[in-house]
Amino acid sequence: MTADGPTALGIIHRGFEISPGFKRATILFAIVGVFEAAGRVAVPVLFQLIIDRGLLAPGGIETRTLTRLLATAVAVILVVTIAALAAELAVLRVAEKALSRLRVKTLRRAIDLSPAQHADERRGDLVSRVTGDVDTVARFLDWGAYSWIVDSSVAVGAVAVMYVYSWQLAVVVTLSFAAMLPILRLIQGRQRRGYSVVRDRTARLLGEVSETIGGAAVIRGLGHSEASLQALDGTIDEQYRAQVDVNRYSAVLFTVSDIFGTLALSAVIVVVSFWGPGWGLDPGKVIAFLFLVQLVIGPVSELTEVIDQTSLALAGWRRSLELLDRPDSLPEPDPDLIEVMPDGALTIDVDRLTFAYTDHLVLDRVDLHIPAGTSVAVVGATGSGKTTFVRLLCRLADPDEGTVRLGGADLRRVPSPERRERVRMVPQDGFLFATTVHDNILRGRDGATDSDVDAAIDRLGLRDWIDHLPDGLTTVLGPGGEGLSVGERQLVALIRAQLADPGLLVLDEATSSLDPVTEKAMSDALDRISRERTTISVAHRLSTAERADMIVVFDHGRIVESGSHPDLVALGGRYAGLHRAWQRGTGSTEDRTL
Amino acid sequence: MPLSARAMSEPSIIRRGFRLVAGYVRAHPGSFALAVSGSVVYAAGTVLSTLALGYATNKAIIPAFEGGSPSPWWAVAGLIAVAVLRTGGVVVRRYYAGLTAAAARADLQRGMARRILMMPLDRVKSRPHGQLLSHVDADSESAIDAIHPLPFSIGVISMLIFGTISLALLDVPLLLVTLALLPLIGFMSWLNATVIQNPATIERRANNTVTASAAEIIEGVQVIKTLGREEAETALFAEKVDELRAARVSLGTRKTAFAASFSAVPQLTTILILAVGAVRVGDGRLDVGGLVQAVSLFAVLAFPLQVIGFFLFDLPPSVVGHDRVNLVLSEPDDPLLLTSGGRHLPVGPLGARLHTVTVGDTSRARLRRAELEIHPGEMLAVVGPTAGGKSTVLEVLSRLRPCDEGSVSIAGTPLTEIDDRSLRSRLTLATQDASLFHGTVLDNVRFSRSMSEDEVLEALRVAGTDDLEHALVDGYRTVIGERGVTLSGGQRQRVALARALAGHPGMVLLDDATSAVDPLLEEQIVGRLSELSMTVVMVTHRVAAMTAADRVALVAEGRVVDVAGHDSLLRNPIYRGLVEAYLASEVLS
Repeated sequence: MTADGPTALGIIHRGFEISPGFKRATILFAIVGVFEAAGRVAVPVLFQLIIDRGLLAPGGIETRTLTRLLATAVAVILVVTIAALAAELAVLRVAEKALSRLRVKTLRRAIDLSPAQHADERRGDLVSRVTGDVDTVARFLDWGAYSWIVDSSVAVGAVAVMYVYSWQLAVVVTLSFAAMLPILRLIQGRQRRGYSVVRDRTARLLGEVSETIGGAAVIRGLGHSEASLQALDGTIDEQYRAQVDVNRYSAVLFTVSDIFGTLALSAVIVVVSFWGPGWGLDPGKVIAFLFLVQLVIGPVSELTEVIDQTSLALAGWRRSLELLDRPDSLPEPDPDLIEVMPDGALTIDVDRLTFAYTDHLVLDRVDLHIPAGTSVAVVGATGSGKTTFVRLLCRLADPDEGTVRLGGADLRRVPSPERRERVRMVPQDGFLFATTVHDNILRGRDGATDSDVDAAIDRLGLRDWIDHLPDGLTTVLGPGGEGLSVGERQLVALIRAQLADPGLLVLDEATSSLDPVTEKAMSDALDRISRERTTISVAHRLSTAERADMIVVFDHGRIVESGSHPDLVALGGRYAGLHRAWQRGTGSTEDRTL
Repeated sequence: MPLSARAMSEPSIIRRGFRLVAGYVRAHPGSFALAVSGSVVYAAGTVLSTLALGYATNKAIIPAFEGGSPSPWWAVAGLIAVAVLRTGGVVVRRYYAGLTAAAARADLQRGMARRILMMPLDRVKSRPHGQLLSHVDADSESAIDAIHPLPFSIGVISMLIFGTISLALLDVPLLLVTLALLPLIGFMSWLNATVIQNPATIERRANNTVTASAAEIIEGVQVIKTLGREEAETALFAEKVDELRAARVSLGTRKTAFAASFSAVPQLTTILILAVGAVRVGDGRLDVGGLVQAVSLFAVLAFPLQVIGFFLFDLPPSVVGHDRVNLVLSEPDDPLLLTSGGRHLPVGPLGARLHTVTVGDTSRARLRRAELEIHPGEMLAVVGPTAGGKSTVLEVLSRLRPCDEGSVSIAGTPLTEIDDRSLRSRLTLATQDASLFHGTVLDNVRFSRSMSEDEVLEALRVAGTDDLEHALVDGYRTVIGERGVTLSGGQRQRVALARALAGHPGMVLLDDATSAVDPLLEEQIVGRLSELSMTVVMVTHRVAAMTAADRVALVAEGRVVDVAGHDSLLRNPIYRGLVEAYLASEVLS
């Protein structure tokens, strides 16, 4: 493992703590492995006995001994095979259950992370920690784990038996195999570097293909197809060359243990032919010994192949464990300190609210009081802190300092199920699930019925709009809500929020322009949804701001102005400036039309 | 994945697999032949090793104990020589098998890259992005997987032959015992391949489902949290994980059972050979060295059948992978790319004409007998309700979408007869999604076309990217990440606009190409565009752009309803309604 990361043992230790099933499986497996290895090693020993006591007995072939030995061998093979099979199947079940739990745990952890950790550029990383990285552990369980336990037990067991037969020959064999280690390390180091080049090139190829798919229209429209093709061919070629390059090491690696095994065999034959009789050996023992040497070659070759897979699995396991070990960003309240929010519309009291992303201060000691039932528009430039502010109102993160009180209750002391029921957010990228519009709405509240969905739609006056969708409520959406525009997705999200009937609704308005139909539906729905509750909108349109009871203007992490639309226009400050710019646009058209 | 399910139940999948690998072999016969010869050398070497071991037992070990003079050197030299031969064979086989596979995969990938660039554009757009990527990556890899064990499988057949001959020379009754048992092992290999195939497919499918589900949940995490659906979504995910677990346990059970029988059956057979061999030794017809050799030869004979089993096991997934690759490879050429009649466009601003253009079938037509005349050098705004056909007008003009009826001409020349190179250099476009590419800002604007840096810089100036030059570390020479992720939406759109403007085309088509640009900046850009000596056709939602245009074309329900200057067009109630709605929703920040 890398020098700065945890050691292999550290990863295994932490991994066992998180998944006790893996630990149980490993212990069980170790017992099976030793048992199975004993069986595999016993067979050559029995062969030796068969040759020595049965075939080469002093008085010719000993039929009775021979029969007994052969029967014993059959019994050993059958018992070992059946017992090992039963135990391995038990291990399989335990390990797979632990693997499933690990998958679910990592996903759950990924969901629970704070929004800062869900920034766009890290999303792919998170997905790979939940899927690809856990898969490397799964692939290791398929083959690598078995190989480690059984192969190393066989190798160690066979060498142990060699020492029983003749410590001198065993030393010869051990030395021959030991000489192989530095060469193995050398080849493996190069192979590992080679694989990382292959991975880089593959990632680059996929990035280019992805751009080619996304930019297909531009590539054709600007006559870039030839150039794109050449670039792609070049990248494919580089990936191919990297693959062939690493292939050299893989081809050689597998033969190393074979070569050194043969050297060990040769050494044994030479040594035996000169000193064998003096060491009290006999031909049967020597032949069994040769079998044992051959028995070691196979497992050692397999282990050389497994090492690479093992380091991949350890790296994958480490990355999933790191995800699980990230601190809980939003702890549940202490049961003794729980506070309850009242029914109906919620008041908002924000006191000295401060929040920073890493070292960049986003909110700087913000104070604000909003009476229950008010509709509020939050405006300000990009980076003014308005989005962070509303996120803290939903407890998508906790402030570094200060408090948020909703209906008098400190948000950190409200249990999450209650908070989710009473506070709802409609985010800017109205992400929807790949199912029908109806099912998307239904997910707004556990236990909601079809008639609840209908009631929510009617309450927002969106029946006509729904009927205009290609298949009405049963319109099936693509991944992420494909098939609807951003504004239309927000409308679905709005119905979903209405279904939950929250005391506070937070809306992050879409920035892109809406077509007139959606715009009309949206403003009507917003009017209606804000009647029975407190609503806060991050406003990107002046029409939304004009409609609000109260406008809050953010600048550099502070509230610089707040009040009603007429008051702020009259004040002649920042909001009035924005409004003038807008009016200039309208004015000029009106001049021309009238 | 109904495809793979169907493919699995087809009886001829093994035959299709053979045809598939035969195709790969034909494409790379040289490296494949080397791989097979390496494998044959290995097979011969393995058989020779058992002979060498028997020789060593008889000439070096037995004499040492029977008081003879042992001569181990020849035996050892033989062992080592044979080992060098054998491992040399392994290296050659593994290297060239890998080379064949990598080359076959690169062929598939190159083919797919060409298809993606050449197939009809709407066929590219109609597939999920990730699906095409997985065809290029995972599917191409599984499509060639069966190549790896193939040379070995062919090579070990020679092992069967060598082994049989050696055993026949040694002792005929032992050969008969062995040959009687081999079909059992062969049958087990075949059974293994068949019985594991189906659960293996189910397992892969379950794994894909789990991956897709995790990606969807993480993508939508914000919504899941705001809806309080953490538990519910985790439970749904856990169900899928459990299906995967069940599939893996079922697959693992079969694999483990087969692995156990694979190790037990040869061992039991060895006992039988020892028993029969003992009788032969007792009769004095076989020496002990010969018996040892027979036991090794049996291993030599059992091994090939297991190897062929692996190959049969790998074959069906390769067929399934190749079927998926074929979804891309079988795409036809975009007919629009084949219509270069060799005519060239003139220099200077270009005019254009749409004559009774219909796109799509009558029930859901995007354009219905649309008529539009575009004057050279004018700035034309295209305005209308969503899905009215605005973008289709631009797609038809840029020859990215065919007309089902009617015709389009540019500067009097029928669009279908214009040489592609001439068309693409004289008529350019920029769209809302501003696809950028990994590379510097300058590279993105030049876009592999021959133009001077001054021309590129001038285009950037018109597109209003001065702020970008100062904000980026290396100015315009800064590498912007894949798809331009390091830039904001508005910045990306301005670079894409510069790309369309660079090289002084005669007509530029802008499909909502500045929708994410700050309104004040957009006004300045539109102002500069109107001063250029080129025709500008722009789909827009911004009233400022409509007022700045020379004329506005109102497109609704697939028709060009009206074309006039902004002021006079305001008399049209549809247009007036649109303008009012746009003003009400004008973006604030």
